[in-house]
Amino acid sequence: MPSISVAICTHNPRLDYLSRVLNSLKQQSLPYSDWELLLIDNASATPVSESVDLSWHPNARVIAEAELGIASARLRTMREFSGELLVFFDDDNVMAEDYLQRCSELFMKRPDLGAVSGCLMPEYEAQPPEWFAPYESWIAVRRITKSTWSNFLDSRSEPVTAGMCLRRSVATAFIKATTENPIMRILDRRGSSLLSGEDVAIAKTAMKLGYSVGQFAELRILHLIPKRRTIPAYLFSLYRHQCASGHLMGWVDGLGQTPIQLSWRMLLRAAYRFVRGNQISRRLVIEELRGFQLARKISRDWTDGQQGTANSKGRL
Amino acid sequence: MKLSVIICTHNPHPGYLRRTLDALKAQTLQREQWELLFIDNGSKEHLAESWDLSWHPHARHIREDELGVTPARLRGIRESQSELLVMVDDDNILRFDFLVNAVEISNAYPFLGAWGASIEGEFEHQVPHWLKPHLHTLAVRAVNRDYWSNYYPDHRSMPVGAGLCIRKSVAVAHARALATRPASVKLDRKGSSLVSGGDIDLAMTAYDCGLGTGVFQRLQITHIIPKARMTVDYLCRLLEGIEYSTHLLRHQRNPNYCPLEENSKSKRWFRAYQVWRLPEPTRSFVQAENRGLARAKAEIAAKPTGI
Repeated sequence: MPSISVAICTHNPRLDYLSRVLNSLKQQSLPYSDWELLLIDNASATPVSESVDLSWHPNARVIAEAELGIASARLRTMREFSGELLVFFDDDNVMAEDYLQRCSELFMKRPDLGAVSGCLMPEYEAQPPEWFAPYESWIAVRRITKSTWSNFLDSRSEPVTAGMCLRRSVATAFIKATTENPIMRILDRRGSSLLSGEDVAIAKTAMKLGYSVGQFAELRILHLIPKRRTIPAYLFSLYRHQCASGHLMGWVDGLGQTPIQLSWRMLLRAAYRFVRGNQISRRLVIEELRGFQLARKISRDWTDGQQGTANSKGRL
Repeated sequence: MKLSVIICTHNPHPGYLRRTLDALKAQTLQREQWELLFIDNGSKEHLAESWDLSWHPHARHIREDELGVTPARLRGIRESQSELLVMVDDDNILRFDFLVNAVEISNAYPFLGAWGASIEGEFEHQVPHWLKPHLHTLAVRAVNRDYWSNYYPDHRSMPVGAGLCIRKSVAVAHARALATRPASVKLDRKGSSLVSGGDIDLAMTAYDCGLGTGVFQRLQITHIIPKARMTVDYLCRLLEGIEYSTHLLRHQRNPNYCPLEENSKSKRWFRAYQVWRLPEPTRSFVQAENRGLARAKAEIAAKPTGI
């Protein structure tokens, strides 16, 4: 059986959620001796170590990562973990009691797997607006009944970072890739920014090494979703950032050489949807365009920053 | 016995079949480890008399009188005696290491149920420019990496019939499934008809068995494309047949499936305008596909039970 490291990244956690998460870890069917627990406190205002007790686990520690950003926290974990498999949880992921055991069995049975995630069912504190139902995947909800896996990029088998289980070799390669191409860190989600794209980047790293990735129905997580993440203003902002992330991911793939552009075709389609659609789809069109603008701005800032450093180096 | 090679042929071109058999003769996998089933699918002349297979210790001539690729393959599946089957068409030239690699993949990827090859074309005359985007329709699809998945996102991980490797358990499940929906047998090539859902149906059974499908670079095939298949007319008929059989097959596999109907009138007009703007012969190809789709829709609407 491969040994497992469980990492929970948290930033100013809601303590009632965090205690449910830790409880679900306490109840894992896999014996404590087979896994270690890392709690990464990502620049919380009050140190998390003051409010949680991890003494029930023989092999647990709190790591304080001062640099704000979920990506920094994950990279730090990838450097520090000691197991053969690494499982990432967010501080609102309550896992089924067989989660770790099934991860371990799955990776033993399938040596071709590099990174997987599971079925994420929502527990809403407040019901989201009705129109939101088809877009649940934005907030990392995956109601999976059938496992899907592939060794090429496709949205149906793409794992998400919530509950993601990956191999050590994938983590090592990911650290190497981000160190060599700092441009990959442009999507780091810092504080209140909602950019994302790390899941795809990890999946791509795994596939470059020849591994498959997938979503597996037997890995079950309850995703706790607070009220503030189901109000329309948040959802629209999230959508805007996701659109921006999409543009930026393409830009990162081209290592900053391919410009971010809107084609006439895309504009025409946007115009058509704006004219013909209902209120929601109009709003989404606007957010898409704002997401485009945001991506342009971020990429321009990055390029300027790079030139700035290059110039100052030149002067030295 | 590690694998069974099943060749289904119907009035073969002697030159092509000769090269297919020569390629099998040159395989590096020891002949004791595989058998050769030569299925004569209702050819005018009985092929057993004219084709000598005595060079192979485990070769058999089998005559299947029911015409069609699917009945011929089902016969081959019934007669085979190993756990891995390789379907070879009578115009497929396998590279010398094909069978060795097929066995290796079978051992290394126990989670795959059906997988195929990287297929290069050998064209009887120069490929016209309009054919280039459609080569995969003629089962010419070279890959430069391996692909696999356990669902059907697109053709990247979906093997075609030429050089299809399939586990016996999946093939048997396919035969059993066909017994419950006999209409699907009609969806495959038969004589000169060009519907061809059988390859996909066979490979997709792997998903039903909880396994995946794949395409591997190290399995190499040369597919001979005769002049007659490089005409606009042939490609139109082929595209129509594929479109028709794909939708009908999906409906037969899942009776709830219906091809999507475009409700918005303006979008339909826009589509029509787009098609009208296309240059020939691309326009004919799109129109052929639309005909296939329309036929499938009509048939599904006429028989809502799907049987």
